[in-house]
Amino acid sequence: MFGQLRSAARYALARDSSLRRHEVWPDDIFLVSFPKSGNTWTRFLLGNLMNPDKPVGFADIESVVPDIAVFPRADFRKLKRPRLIKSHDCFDPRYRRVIYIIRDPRDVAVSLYYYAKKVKNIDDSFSLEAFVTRMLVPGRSYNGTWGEHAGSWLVNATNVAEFTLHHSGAPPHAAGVPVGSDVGSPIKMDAPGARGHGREFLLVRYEDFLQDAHAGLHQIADFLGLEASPERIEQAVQRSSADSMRKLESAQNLQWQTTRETRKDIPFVRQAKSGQWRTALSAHSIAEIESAWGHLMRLTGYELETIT
Amino acid sequence: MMIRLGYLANYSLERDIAGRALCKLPDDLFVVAYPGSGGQWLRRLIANLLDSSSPVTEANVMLRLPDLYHGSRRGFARMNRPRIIFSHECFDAEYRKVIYLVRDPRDVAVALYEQRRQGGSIEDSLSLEQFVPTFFTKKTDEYRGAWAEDFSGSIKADHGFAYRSRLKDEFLGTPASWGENVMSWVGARGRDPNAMLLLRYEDLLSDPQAELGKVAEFLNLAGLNLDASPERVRSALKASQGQPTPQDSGKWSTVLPETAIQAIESVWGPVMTAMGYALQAHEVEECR
Repeated sequence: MFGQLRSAARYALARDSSLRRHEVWPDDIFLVSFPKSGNTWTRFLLGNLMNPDKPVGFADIESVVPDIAVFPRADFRKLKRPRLIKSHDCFDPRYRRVIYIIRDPRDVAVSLYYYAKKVKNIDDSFSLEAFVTRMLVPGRSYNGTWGEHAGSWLVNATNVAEFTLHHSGAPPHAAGVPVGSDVGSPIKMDAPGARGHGREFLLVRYEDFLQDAHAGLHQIADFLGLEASPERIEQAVQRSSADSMRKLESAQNLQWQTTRETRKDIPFVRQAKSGQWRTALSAHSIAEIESAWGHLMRLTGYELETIT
Repeated sequence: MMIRLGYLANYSLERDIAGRALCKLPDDLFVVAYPGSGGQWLRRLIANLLDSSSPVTEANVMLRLPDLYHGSRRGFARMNRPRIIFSHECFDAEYRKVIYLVRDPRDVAVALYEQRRQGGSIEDSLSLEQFVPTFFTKKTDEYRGAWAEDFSGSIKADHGFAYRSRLKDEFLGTPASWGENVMSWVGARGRDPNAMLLLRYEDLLSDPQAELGKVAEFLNLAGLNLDASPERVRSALKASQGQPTPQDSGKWSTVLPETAIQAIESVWGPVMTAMGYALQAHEVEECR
């Protein structure tokens, strides 16, 4: 009863978090990704790029690039437009301007494993292998699986055939569909589709971004129509480096809602590298991930280790 | 102010429409279809499959297989589990088990046109040729806010103004466009037959016994203790006779103007092909 009253009060005052209740404005820009795919880093980069006067920290990141799952509905109404909003939601047809960050699901698995420990979802005895098996199961979380998340956002008219079953056990009507016609070629995002219809959609690969943060940030700035001189990009990249984010985390982790009540012996900012999976994941886990999401990995340019 | 108080009262008592805000349970099952795709027909068939003692009616369908857009949060919370729920939404990761019905978008366009004309939500003077680019293949933003009653029938007036006042798409949800709806589900679950049973309206029409059999089997595997025997399926089909009959498929080929066909096929051609719907535009190209 108390809980119900509290939630009604929060609702009445619009102090509840936005999520699906978010009132989308046509010029809202969404920074979308599956969890542990470089979203926080991108938030820092953009936050720093847009606010050159003072470095952004964990203490103020929520107000600079607010999280749709954290920031109260009422406060969203007060933000300057266009609003830049961080979201881990699966496909939402109301989002019109989207920057989608994708990361190799094998690295996501490793990162998510440590994060699950940090937020006390699993204890230390939980194995990485069991964790990988669990993260493949649909219907367990609001954000879906990696494959559901990426699939729901990246499917479009040029690649939809890749998302249907058309070999053994396929529905007979789909038999005429060419199998793997576009395998290996980068995903085309300008086609009419789940994303299309003239919406603005930018696909960013975390690995490319990591390799050349300046170029990546430049690309995003262009997409957003932000003024970005090389100096300002350089400054944003410096202020958002893994080292500086680590320092900020140890100083401000109690001021950031995401880390406040988590284990402090596991850092939020971890390696900030790609390819960790090669040493961390077992052959079994790699095979499991690739057999579930191989079609998406091929479409987004992640080389498969196991030949299926 | 009154409206906000009404809002609040409804919200506190969970008398507001569930819509997208439905609190999902791990054993829920969903029947999803884009509006105009024969979803109501499939809904009646499944409702009859679930309870063979008496045929489903207008009055009891909300009890057997309620939809998101007319049921209150409170009503859903009080349902017997496992719940089976009807929805028009795009992909939702919390829908653990889904039966998704897809239909040839050219027929969907015709069905929606007729439906909306009948419902009075479009001008009588609007032709089918104008309807397709304006309401069907156009951006989702066009559907904002207004779709609920257009597509789902009028919301009961006796629930009061505050009940209706929450019908904003951020609360209720939105089916978006045909392509977005279909693709979001196929993109997320197309390769996972355990999580999504993909049915085609046309197959259901030509072999209801076999297709409804698949439904029964899927519901069973999903944890529903259902008699999936051919006899049970047959009796469900029998119970559905005398209820509103589904439209034939392929009506588009006689009523849909050429420009409208082109409009649909040019946006969603590859999706249609992937779903097994032959394009007309191809033939035209080959003739040239």
